[in-house]
Amino acid sequence: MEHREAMTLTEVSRRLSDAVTGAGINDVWITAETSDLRSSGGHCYMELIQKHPDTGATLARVRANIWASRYATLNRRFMHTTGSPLASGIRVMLCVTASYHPVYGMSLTVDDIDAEYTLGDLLRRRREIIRRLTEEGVIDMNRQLEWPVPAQRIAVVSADGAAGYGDFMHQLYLNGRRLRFHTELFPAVLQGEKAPSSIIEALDRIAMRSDEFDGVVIIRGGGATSDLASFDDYDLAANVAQFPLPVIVGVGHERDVTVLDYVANMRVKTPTAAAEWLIGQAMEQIQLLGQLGSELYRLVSGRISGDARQLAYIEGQLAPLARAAHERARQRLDGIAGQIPQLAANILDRSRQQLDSLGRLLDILSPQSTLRRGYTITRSGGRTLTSVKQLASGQRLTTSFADGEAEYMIINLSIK
Amino acid sequence: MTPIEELSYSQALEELESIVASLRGNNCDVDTLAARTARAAALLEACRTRLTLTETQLAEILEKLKVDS
Repeated sequence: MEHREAMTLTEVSRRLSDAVTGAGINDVWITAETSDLRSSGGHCYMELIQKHPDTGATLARVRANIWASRYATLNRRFMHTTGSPLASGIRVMLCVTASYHPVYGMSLTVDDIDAEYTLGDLLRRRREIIRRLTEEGVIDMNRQLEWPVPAQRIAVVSADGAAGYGDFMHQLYLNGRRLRFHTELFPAVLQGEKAPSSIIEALDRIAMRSDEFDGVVIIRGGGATSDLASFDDYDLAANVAQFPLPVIVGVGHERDVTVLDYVANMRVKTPTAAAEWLIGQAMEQIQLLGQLGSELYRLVSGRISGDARQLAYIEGQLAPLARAAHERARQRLDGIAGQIPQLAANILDRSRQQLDSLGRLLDILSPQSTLRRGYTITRSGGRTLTSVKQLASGQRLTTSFADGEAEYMIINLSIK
Repeated sequence: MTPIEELSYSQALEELESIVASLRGNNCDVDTLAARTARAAALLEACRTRLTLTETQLAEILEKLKVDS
């Protein structure tokens, strides 16, 4: 059997390597989306993909890596600009060189990253989500919910066994205040691409029992593991915004605000801070009760001792008041008694003067005194005569003087 | 008067505040002072109990936290 000329695999690899090297992808800036990003031995490995803008179907996929010599520096710079480390599911602009390895195939080696591009893209995505939620009129709905007082029944959305969940629970119960809380964990994935749908699922389970809880806490430990993109998700933000219970988000972003932070009722930096907030509002109630208790004590004891003082005062006043009243009455009597003789004398005096003047009047008016002043009274047959017309010649008359009477007869009568 | 165990925390707090307000306002006669004070003390105690854990409850929770972590 005749053997064809066959190329060895290393020859194929060599030619492919030449082709890749000759493709002009040498320190070229490209844009892509990161996926399956992981680090190992100080190096960073990832898949770069490009999706169809409408369907989301993967149009291209190429492996990429950042060697340890560059990774630490690039990741630190990236974090400084965007607030989070390099992660899956974000859009990046990279300076890459293509190479072909006979065993591992083709890959892109990243030499530089334009973090501003990612920041801009994140801000654009965030603005777009916020604009949409605002248009739909739901952006403020959760923020405007009032917390019940006291908020004690808390549904916790966290990864089971995660450090952040432990921090939250320890802070909530080991704060030395002995505050009563009821917590129930609704486990969810809080990292990576699956986080939004997993959190939404947990929220759905809470919503079915919403009357059993006062509020929801979504927590995740912070630090280097946090990724930016998973919380800038429209569906997740829309769910939280319209959730019937107030939501606290503590997902460990140091300086960046995600859309989730924006729509949630309360944003805290860490799970511990979420617990602190709950403790704080319970402590406010404890303090309020303390104030009410001491005011109650003050008012009641003040009232009782006030009444007692009033009684004692009245008791003390009784004897002197009675004595004073008796003394006043006696003085009044004495006063009246002292006036009686003078009053009586006055009355007698007045009566005497009255009698004197009456006597004088009587004296003036009596006929005897009239007679003494030269008047006379003339009578005839016992009748007192007051007119000359009552007289006739030869009539006998009697005229009384003060000192006696004369009897005579009329000789001549002339009438004027 | 509603039994205290049937009141919500906020209802209990509201009643407590109204009792304090009536005492502050001095329109509470001595005949009902004792009854009102007793009611207020019971409300206060009920509210505090709802906010805080007993030693036993705290110990149970600490035990659970220990198991969890």
